[in-house]
Amino acid sequence: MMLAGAKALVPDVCVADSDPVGEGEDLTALARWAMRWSPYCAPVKGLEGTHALFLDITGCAHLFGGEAAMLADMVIKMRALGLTARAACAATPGAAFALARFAPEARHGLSAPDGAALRALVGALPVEALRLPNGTTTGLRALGLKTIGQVATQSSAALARRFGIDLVRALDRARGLEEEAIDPVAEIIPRRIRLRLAEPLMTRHGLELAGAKAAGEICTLLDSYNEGARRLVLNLYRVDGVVLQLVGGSGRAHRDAVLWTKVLCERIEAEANGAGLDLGFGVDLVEICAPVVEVLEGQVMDLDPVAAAALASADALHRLADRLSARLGAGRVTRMEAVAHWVPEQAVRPVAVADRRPQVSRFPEALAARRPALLLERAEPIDAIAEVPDGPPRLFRWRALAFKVACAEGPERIACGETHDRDYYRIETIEGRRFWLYRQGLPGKVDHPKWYVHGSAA
Amino acid sequence: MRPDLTTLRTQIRAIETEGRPALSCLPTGADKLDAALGGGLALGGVTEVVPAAFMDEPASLHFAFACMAKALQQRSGDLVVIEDTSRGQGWGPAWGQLYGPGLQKLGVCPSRILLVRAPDVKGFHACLEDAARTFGLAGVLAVSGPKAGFSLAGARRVQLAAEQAHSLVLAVQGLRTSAFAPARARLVLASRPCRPVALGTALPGLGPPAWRLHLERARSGARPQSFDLEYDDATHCLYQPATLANRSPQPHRLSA
Repeated sequence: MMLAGAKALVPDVCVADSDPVGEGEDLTALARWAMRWSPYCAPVKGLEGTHALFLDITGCAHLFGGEAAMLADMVIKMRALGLTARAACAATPGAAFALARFAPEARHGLSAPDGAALRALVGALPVEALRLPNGTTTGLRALGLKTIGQVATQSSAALARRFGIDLVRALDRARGLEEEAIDPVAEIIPRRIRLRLAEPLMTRHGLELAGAKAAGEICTLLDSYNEGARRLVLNLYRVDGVVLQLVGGSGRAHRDAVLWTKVLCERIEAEANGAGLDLGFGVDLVEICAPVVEVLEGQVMDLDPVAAAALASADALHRLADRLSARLGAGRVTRMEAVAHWVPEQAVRPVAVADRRPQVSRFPEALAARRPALLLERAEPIDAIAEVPDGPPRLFRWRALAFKVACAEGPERIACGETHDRDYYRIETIEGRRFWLYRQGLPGKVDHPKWYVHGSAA
Repeated sequence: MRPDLTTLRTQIRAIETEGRPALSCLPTGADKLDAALGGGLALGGVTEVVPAAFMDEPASLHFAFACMAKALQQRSGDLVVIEDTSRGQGWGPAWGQLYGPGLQKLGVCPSRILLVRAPDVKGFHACLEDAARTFGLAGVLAVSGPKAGFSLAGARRVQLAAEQAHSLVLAVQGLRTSAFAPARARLVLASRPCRPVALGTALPGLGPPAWRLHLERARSGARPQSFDLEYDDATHCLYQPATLANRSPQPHRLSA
């Protein structure tokens, strides 16, 4: 029906533009929230206007009291979000999709049997359940094949010749004969613990208690694998279908529940003080996982007092770094890492404590000897008077102040491509202040080379 | 004497600094400066480094890192650098950010630096106190912006924390930062022309970096006095140049 026709029938009809991108994003968010039932969760791809989620519930159903109870739980929770949901569970994703869309029992959750019973159940469904483009289903209907059962009686070679191999494959998938891979929305992290709460958490204090309990449990889990975590992710599943994520990092792998609790509580506090931790109507599921783990064998207490003190001080530093990065945010507590790059501003990279690899990074000595201690983030242009064609500057003006150069060392030529080559000079003014200047553009190639100051305390 | 007065006395005695064991020092390498400071930079105390003029701010940081190079040589653990970035990037727009290769030249191994950028003054104070309280650090370097001065009580807390953990804390102040009251010493730093190296070019080459350090105040009781200091990048040590070598700034040219 045209919109004009619809408006003629119902004058106050509510109209909104279709927004496939926004719908896709919402579906992905819903898929993340649906990870509360199974980590293998993905929105169905390939068909426009089809809003469905696939969950691989292998090994998960018994946690919710069996397949039927789990499906009922899904339908109830989705309905609480204001969504109309139909759920079905079958041997293959194709069969589950067909049943959820077209079987009437799927309104309350339908747990289908396997084998011949499943094929009989699916056989009664219309051909639209095959998850095929419109053209194919209209073609099948034109031939009088209205249900999957009728299509299945035809020879597959004939169907493939007439409609393509996709039809045969879709038929096998819907009848529970062919498996299908699903691509989960989030990374599957094997080290995870989930706490299902009887009452939704509404307060920060409750959240901190839950964080402490979760940290304790994941540390026990890691202990059984002889592993330590470098990072813990706390996922908070809100009642209204939003997942909040808090990430705590550490500069060193460990499984000390008390320390991890502190880090998580600092994160909760930082979030609450910063953007605000909106718990909405409460959090009813807390999940903690350790995405980055390292093997951590038990440590022997060192009996040598000097070595023990060194160990204790290294430990204290790690704790300080973890505490500060939890409080200020990971990007604010960093270490410098050397990068093999000749452009000065790209030779150093800040690395967050939690991402650091335990190797010592040093710069080449010969290069370090000519570098300043402070580097401007962006080189600032200056007016300079220099010897022509390629001498060091004698006078320059920076930030409205005039400087007279007493000593200079250089040039050190750094190639940055054609007209951007730089000639660096370390200079000292007559007052003894040291700067790192460069001339951009080589004398023969550029008519009026520009001068910049790039660092101080050279 | 009433018993509650006795308990009050013991409480006060716990807070007082009288009769505590003497704090050890980290010698800087410049003998006269060490003598004036009572042995060197105080371990278990805050030493304040202040620029003499606005343009000397980079030089005061340069000097502070020269001192920290000594601390990293002699003490185990890492160096924690805390920057106050409440004014945008702190010193960022003014003088630039700490640059690894340049620090390595000074003798500060970049992988032993933990860099903390505090977003506001409150966070800066909390981080400094936390770091000063941590055992086993080689040193703590606080780079304050103009607004990051400590209140009397806040400064005292940092000082007590440093005393507890015997940590070496250098507070590099901006020109207009208010003074750190309980500091063990206040050093005012000015740039000084270096002794140039004759290279045979039109302009002479750079000698070792040179500073004039004015000891404005010290808990050791030394009277205010000035020192000429230089830093050797090769041996990573701070020294007072021999007076004989401190001649005319003109380089000597070799006759052909």
